[in-house]
Amino acid sequence: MQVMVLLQQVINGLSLGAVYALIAVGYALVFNVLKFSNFAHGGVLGISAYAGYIVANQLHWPLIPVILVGILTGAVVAVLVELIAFRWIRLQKGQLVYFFVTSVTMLMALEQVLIIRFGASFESFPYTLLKVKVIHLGELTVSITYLLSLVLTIIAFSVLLYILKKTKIGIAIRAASNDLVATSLMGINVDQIIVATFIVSGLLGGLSGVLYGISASLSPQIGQIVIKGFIASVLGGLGSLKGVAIAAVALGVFEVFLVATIGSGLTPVVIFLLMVIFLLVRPQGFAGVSFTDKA
Amino acid sequence: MKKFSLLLIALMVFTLALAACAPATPATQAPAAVEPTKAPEVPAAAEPKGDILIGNLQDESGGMKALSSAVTYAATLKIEEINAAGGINGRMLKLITYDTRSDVNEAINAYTRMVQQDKVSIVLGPPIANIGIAIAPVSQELKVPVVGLFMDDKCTIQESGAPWDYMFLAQNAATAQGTIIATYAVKELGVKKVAVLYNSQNSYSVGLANPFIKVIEENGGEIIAKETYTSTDKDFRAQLTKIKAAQPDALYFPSYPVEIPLIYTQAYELGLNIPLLGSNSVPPTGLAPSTDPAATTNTFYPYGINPSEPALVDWAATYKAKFNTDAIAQSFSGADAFGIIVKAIEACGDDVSSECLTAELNKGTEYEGFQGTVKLSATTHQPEALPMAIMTIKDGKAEFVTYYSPAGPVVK
Repeated sequence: MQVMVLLQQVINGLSLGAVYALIAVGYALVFNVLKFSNFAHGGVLGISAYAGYIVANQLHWPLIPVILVGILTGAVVAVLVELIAFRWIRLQKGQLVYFFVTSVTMLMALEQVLIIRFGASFESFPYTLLKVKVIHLGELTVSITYLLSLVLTIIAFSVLLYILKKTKIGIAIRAASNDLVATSLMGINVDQIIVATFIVSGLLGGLSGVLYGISASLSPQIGQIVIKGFIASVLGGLGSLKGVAIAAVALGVFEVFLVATIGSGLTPVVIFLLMVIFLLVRPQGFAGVSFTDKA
Repeated sequence: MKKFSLLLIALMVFTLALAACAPATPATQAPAAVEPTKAPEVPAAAEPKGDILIGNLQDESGGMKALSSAVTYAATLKIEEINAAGGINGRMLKLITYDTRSDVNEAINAYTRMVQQDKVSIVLGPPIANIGIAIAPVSQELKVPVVGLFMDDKCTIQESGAPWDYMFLAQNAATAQGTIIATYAVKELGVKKVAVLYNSQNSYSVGLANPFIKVIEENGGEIIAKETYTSTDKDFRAQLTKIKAAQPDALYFPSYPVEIPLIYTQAYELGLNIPLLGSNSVPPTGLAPSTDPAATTNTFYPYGINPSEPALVDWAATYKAKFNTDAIAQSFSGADAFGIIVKAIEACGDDVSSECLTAELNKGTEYEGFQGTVKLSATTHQPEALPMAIMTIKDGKAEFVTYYSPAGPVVK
């Protein structure tokens, strides 16, 4: 019996970690190229989740189109954030801390947009979008909602890795993540690369926003879940997307076990302590990629 | 330098996370200033003495909007009826509404402002215990009575056992509600081993869980799992998995509307096929379309009214026609709270002062409302023994089972 409970908690953790992984990779992607912590990714996630909610709730669109609307909204909002908030600072060769402060400001600004439009109350996707269904594996149960998150996460990573490794734009993004100036000197249009990075990050943010909105509920503060992405990025190593993804899944499992053992109230304290210890002892995360400067 | 930068960011993130974990809506997420809502149309010219101003302290845009707005709607309907009939002593009633967004600091500021600036002499309070607890000591200073639906005993009774002088509850307190559903579970459903899942940061949830646990244990039952969560939690599967492993006969979850659909869905997904005992917050989010009906069968919860009673059905129809939303328990008990206020105003005649209104509320006058005969006790400032309806959910819709009191079934 205890083994089954343990296994069920692992499944619970993996389900949670899959959503965290999507958030964390979208967040870490921008960090890799521009070397700052993009908390505005949370705002992108929030706007996308509400865009999906509107078409699901008011236009009664089915699941796949709802997800597509969320993904596309994420890409558009992410590009707008880059153009409005970050480009000018980059062109002025502003310090990294300016990017960081601006990203936090954008997160708050996008939250306010949602509050103005929807109020501070919560909303739910209609249950008809994805009726509660489970797969039984003996005594274990796996939710269809979270299974969908896991499958879509794996598909999104596979596509992302393919783009980064096999396509010209992906190779250019990787080059930019190593050295933006050198990439520019090689004749690559850096502006386009950065926009492309924000598009990919926004696509992932949109997907994670809709999936998280369906499995949890919607509130204008939904974007603050990006903090989990930040924690996973610190633990995994901000330079490594694979490290970040693995750390995010591990974080989900760890969180579930902490809630089951020490309770929900103390869990965030332990997780933040762990993050601080990582920063002090191994700032490059367990994937081992380090940067000389970051914010 | 690198470590320092990251530590600085971590510190900021931690601060943000702590702010996010706070039970109330952060003040930074909405404009700090709250504006009174528009007063209802006044059909006749006001008398020289002017309108009678009634404060209304509700969450109009936060996480408890679903329940709190119901109180505003009920009061608005009542005011329109009274004003259309010429008001009270020729004076029109006017509701001065402030949006608290479920934030206790906003609520304290709003209560102070409506008393000192708007000069209201009585206030219609919210169905939010945390706010009731915060307002109680302030009301001792400002001396303006609040009649509300805040269920926690601490909202109306001080630690000394004496009532807060200016706080009055117009529905059953948490102790009575927790006791009624626990008694029903033991005596009618025959449960012995019970699990409890509640929000340890929320007075409403704790206030219901404690008497429930006490009554279960006093009746020979056993609490075999007691799990808690916090106000920002969205994933309850870690707790529900432990609960399932403990193999209880039933699960009690006195939760807020935002948590209810998530708990239902996740419990169903984990295969927790046992009676689910809820609180009076189950509607509207526990019903369809917010929650899949598949997850809500086998639910029982205490409710202030039986919505299928003909008199209530008519009023609910008027309510829905006007506000385009279904009337819930807080609509009816909110109407009763407002009715108690109106009765006190009528009794005071020309002297609509907070002193006179407080004295009237303390007289224990009976009020015939939707919930039955509401008689406020002078020693607790809570209604004396109101039976409640036990409800269940069938195909996503609420269905009446029986009237129940702590002593057992009640025939009305």
